[in-house]
Amino acid sequence: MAEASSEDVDSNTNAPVSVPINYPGPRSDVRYPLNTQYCGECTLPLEYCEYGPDPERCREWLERTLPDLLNQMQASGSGDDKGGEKKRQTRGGKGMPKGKKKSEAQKIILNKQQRKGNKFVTIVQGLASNEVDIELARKFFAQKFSCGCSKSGDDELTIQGDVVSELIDLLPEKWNQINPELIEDKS
Amino acid sequence: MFKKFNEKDSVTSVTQLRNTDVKRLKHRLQQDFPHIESVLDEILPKKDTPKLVKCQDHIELITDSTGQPLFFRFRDSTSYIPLLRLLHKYPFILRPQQVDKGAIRFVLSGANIMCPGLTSPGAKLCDAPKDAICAIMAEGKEHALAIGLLKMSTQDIQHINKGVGIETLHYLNDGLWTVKQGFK
Repeated sequence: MAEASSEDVDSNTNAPVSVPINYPGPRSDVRYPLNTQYCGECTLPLEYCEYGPDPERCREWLERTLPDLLNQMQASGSGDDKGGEKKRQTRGGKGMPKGKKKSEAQKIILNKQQRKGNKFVTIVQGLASNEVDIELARKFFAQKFSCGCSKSGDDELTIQGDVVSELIDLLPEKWNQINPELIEDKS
Repeated sequence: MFKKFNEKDSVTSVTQLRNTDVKRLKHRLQQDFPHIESVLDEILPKKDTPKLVKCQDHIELITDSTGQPLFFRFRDSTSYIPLLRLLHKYPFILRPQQVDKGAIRFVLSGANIMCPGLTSPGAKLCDAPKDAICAIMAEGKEHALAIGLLKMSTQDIQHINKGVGIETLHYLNDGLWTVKQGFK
């Protein structure tokens, strides 16, 4: 085995004997690292989009962002075997899992709880469903209000002190995607 | 293997690699993947301190200092295995095995690769012993779609032509591929 493969080994490689190399190494006419273009929709390399969860959306994405590349692919791509592919799909194999639906933005609920005496904590719910990184938000609140802030549930932050009125202004300002109308003051 | 992998729940600890460990890792990689030598310093720059991420089910990941995973290792594997994203950058690291077109969708949903998919006209085999790590390419495609472990030698695959030929370890869009933020 080793003798047979030693003939294939390129003269410039000095590999250990245990691993016979019989596959091509880096090509001298290509610069590495290669820059692979990934699809923004399904994260696969572009050529695998057709096997992705939603090829239609990948196509739209490609049209929007890289119209030149799409034309190139169409010119060289094979459009004729699409019908066969469709037929096979019904026959078995799970194919790709469908992409998860984006969870709809839910209401952000601000609540106030009384602790001892005239001390309050503010409870914020629903930030994560509005695409806010909870961990970052926690740090930000603690710094902004110079107080303790902790994660008290899956999608819940507890801020020490009564900051409900500040939050109502602050949230849409800090995170643009938050719709002010979705903020609900329950205190 | 990474079908249910989740970057939040599956990770048990993240530690920085010690200098000696980095050396050992590099040595190991050179031994296992001879072609990697020329680009090893690009993958793991000297100044960068890689991290070791330990996960459930005896899975270990090597990430760069920003937490982007580069290599993985699991219980039975003796060597570190490059991730697909890394392999797309340096496709020569692993020996390629090509499957035919019909197999692509099954591989992409995590199936092991059956011998007929490796011996049909659209497929290409590259001689390799049993237990070798290989990149799984596809007919008419440029990039690798999975990384697998040969369950029998390529000669056996051709002769027996039945059953599982390559065990799929890591494939496009599995839990490891979808790691976005990196490990902290």
